[in-house]
Amino acid sequence: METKFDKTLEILFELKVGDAMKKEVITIRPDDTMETLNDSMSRHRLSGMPVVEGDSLVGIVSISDLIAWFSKGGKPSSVREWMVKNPQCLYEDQPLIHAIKRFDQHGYGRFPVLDRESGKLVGIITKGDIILGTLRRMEQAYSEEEIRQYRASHFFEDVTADHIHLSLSFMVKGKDFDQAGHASTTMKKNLKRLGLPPDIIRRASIASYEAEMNVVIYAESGVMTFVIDGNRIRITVEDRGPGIPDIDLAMQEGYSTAEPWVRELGFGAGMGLPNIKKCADAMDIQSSVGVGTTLKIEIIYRSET
Amino acid sequence: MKLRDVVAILEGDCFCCEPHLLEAEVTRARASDLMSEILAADALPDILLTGLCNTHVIRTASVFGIKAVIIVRGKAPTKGMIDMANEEEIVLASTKEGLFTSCGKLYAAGIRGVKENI
Repeated sequence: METKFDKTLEILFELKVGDAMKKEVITIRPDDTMETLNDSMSRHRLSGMPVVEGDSLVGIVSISDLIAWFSKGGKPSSVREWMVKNPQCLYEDQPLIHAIKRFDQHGYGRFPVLDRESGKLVGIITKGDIILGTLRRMEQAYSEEEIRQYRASHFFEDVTADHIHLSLSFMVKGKDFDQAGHASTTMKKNLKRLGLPPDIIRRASIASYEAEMNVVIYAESGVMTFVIDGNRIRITVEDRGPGIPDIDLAMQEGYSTAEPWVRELGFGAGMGLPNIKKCADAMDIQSSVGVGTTLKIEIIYRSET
Repeated sequence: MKLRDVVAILEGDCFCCEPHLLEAEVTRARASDLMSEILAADALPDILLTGLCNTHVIRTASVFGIKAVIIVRGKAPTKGMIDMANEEEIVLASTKEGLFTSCGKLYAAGIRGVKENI
C-alpha cells in the first residue's frame, strides 16, 4: 500500500463501527405485512430494514426480498416469511476496517450493529456510512493539524515586538546516561513545531546533542538554553564541571579525555566539539578549570534584512 | 526496497512497528558502533546497523534523521529503547546475524553504503 494512505488506514483501525453507524434505526416487526414494509421502505427511502421482535433482532429484509414477493404475486403475507433469518451482524466496538472486510466478503448492502454485551440492536451501517465517517474524521484530523501547525509556525509573524527572544531552558544531569539527549530531542520537536527549515533543525539538533553529551560525560550538571529570535537559534550550554585546560587541544579531532565507559557507549571519540563547530555558524567556548565551561553555539536560519 | 524487506532479509524481529514506517523506501545504510562517528558524518543513511544496544543509538538516529536502527548479534533492545523508538517514529529491529553478514545480505539485495568522510 502507498505510504500516503497509511493515515487513512490508521483511521479505519481507530474508528469503531459505533462511530460511523446510523443510530436511529427504522425497524419492522416480523408480524408486519409486506405491504407495510413496502410503504415504510418507500416512505423512508430505504433499501433494507432490520426485523425486530421485542428487543431482539430476528432478521433483515431488503429490497430484493420485496421484489421477490412482488414477482410471486404480492399476496398478503408477513415479513417473517420473506426476511433473511439470523442475519450477519457487526458489533459496535469492532474497528471500521473489520466492517469493510465483511462488506467485501458478503456483498451485503448493510449490516445491523449489535451491542456486544446485551446483544441488542443499536444501529445500522452501510458502505456510505463508512465513507462518511472516515471523511468526517479525516476532516477533523486535518483541521486540528492545520490549527496546530498554524499556531506554532506563525508564532514569529503573529507575535509583534521590537525584539522577540523565545527562550527555552533544560536542566542536564551529569552521568545520567539514560536521560542524556532528552533536551536535544525535545528541542528538535519544538523547532519542528515552530516551522524552522529541516536542515536547520538537523544542524541544531546534532550540535545540541553533542553538547548535551559532553555535559553528561564530563560535568556534574548543566543548563542548556535555546534562544530563538526569528533569525537565529542560539544555544548556550553552561556546566559545572572540571573545565577544559586546553581548548585548542580539545578542539582537535580525535583528542578525548573520556573514560572507557563512555567509549563503550559509543561516545568519547574526540569528535564532539569539532562536530559542533561544523554544524554551527558560530561557536565560542569559555572555560575555567575546576569551575565549568560555557559553550555558545549560533545557527542562523534567516539572514537579517 | 522498503524497510519491511530489509527486516525480512535479515530475518529480524521488529520492536517498533507502526506499519506505515515499514513502508519507507530505503537505499543507503551505515554500520558503526561509534555514535560520535555517525553524528560527525555528512552523509545521511536510511539505516544504521550497530552492535551497540542502548538508548543513544535511538537518540542518534533521531537527531541525525536515520529512519531505522538494526541491532545485530541478537541483542534485545531495552524497554527504554523501544519506547523511545516509538516516540521518535524510528523502526527498531534486531537480527541474530553478525554485523558483517547483515551488511553482506543487504548489499547483495541492493542496499549501498554512504560516503564515510570520517
